[in-house]
Amino acid sequence: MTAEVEVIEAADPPDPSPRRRWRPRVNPVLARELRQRARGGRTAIILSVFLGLLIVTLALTNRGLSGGGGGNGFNEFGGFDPFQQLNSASVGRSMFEFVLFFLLLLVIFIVPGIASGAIAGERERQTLIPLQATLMGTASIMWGKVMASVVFLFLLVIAAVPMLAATYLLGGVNLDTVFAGIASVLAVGIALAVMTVGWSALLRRVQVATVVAYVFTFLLVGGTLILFAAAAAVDASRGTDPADPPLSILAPNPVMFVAEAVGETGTAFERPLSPFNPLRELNEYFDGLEIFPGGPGGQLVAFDPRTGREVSLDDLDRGDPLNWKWSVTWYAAASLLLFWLGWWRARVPAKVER
Amino acid sequence: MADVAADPAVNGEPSAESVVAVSGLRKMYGKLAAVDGLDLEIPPGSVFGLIGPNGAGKSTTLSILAALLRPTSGRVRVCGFDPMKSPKEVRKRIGYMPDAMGTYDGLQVGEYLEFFASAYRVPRREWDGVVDGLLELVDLGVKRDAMVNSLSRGMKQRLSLARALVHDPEILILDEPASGLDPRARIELRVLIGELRAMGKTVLISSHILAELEEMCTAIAVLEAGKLLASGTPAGIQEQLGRGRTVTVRFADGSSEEFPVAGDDEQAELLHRLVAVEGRRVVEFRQGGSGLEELFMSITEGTVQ
Repeated sequence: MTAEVEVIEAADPPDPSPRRRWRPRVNPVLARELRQRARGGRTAIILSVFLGLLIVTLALTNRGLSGGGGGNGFNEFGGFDPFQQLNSASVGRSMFEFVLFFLLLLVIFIVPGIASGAIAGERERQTLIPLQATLMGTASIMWGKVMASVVFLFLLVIAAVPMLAATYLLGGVNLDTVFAGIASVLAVGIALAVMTVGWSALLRRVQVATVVAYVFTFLLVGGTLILFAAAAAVDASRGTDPADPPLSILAPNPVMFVAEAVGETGTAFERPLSPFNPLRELNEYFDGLEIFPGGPGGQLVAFDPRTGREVSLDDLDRGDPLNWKWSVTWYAAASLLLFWLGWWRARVPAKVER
Repeated sequence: MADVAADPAVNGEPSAESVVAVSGLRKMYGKLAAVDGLDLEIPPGSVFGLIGPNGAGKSTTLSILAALLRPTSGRVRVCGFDPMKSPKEVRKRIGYMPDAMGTYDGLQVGEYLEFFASAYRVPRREWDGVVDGLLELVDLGVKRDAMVNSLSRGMKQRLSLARALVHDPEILILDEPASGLDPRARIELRVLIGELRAMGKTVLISSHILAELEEMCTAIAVLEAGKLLASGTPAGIQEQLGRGRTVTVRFADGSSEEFPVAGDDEQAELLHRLVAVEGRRVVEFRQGGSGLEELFMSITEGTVQ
């Protein structure tokens, strides 16, 4: 008995396997934020309101679009009806774009609100200094905050997937489009989360950080359009025909980005009803192409005065000068810049006490 | 003003035996010197008090030692590491408790300490033991499942102290830990700091409550307007100032007398002489004058920057 005990006591503890040692650490700030959010009722309220608004959007869109003779692709006797099939696809596409548009608006509205208190809130609660006195670096604290916002964003977007799937069932969109829509909304949300955490680290007070984050987001959505219109007006006043303001001005616009990311069906002359259409038309109008019924039998053709060549209408839709990749590049650069500025402002050892 | 120079390492390099060694430390905010040429040496296992009026530079000094603030110039070593060059090495070895006690809503006491254990990279398997041990130390064991924001100020302060100890640091830096506490909580804090000293921790503490420091500290430094006015043991500073200690004795017949004494030995000798040799009936034997408060008032001028 004694010998057995000695053997047990003498045995070395087993070496942790390399796999165990390799196990990645969860960012402590992320873990804490998730625990706190799961415990409070705020998350449930936001999620409920968010889904409620999307359901209302879906229902209203469905009612508005189907009321004009839309259908499920079958006639009243149960027979196949190609015109109704076509109409169903158009309704499906429109509903998809309406739901995606409102999903994007909600993300744009919610993300700055949940991320603006990230660092400024810690500062106000006087919890930032004890946290910075630990072995977590300032960048790691900020990254944990970004991740917490992104996890919440994923929760919102995943909760909205059934509604996007419902529009998919009506036709008019393929899986690639659905994925592109979800991915582009997530990309906008992630970029906004990173940029807002940057603002939160840069600014001292939560209120100021929240106002600045929302103003900044508004500038991305509305400011870019105003700037673009101003640039077009300047072009027009110089006598440029057609007015050709730089479309890169619209690259930071999240609505334009999502519109470009999901592409479109039809042509500029027969596209399903969509809240993205005005931006798409703006994009096409200013791409410099001239469209006129110069083809055989009066068919529409496009002419690019810069190259002196005729462009097919297919190219007109595919070859928009503003590509979604520009927007991704812009968001990545702006996010990195604001995150770095925030880190630079909040880092320790600091030059001044904060 | 009695401008008593700091006794250790005034002009030379900080000594290797000190866990905290500061030499010529200066922190400027524009033209204002928050800390102006500070020299300090703190031996291991001591309870070192930083005393000074508001704006004396105490919190600034502690922030620099905790690798949170960059000095303008000077040499600082904490456990042999430069807080500017090796902040993580310094943070591994210190527990810092700032003067403001911020808490998180929606976290339990145990979860709060676990969060900081993870932030200090304490291995996950050790969390339960560490949290239980610390809560027992600060007498909050029964509050493990209570929400942090439901604790009283004194309890929060003790929890904050437990947080600073979560990674078992060598040095504790406590900035005004007794501010806002009721008398009972202050006594509990004092007892706790005594326990930490007994555990071998070095404690660096700043406070306005001089009577507290007098009982706790093995050495003190008096700061004013960013300058070090005096440092050493309270008795040592008194000797440097040329101030004698006095003892007030009250006898059973109602009379009382004041005796000058040079130190502890002479004070003990006096008591022995009065009671054992002269056979006088002593009912009160109290050290008077030149306590820390009086010492502080005599050294400082109340200069505000």
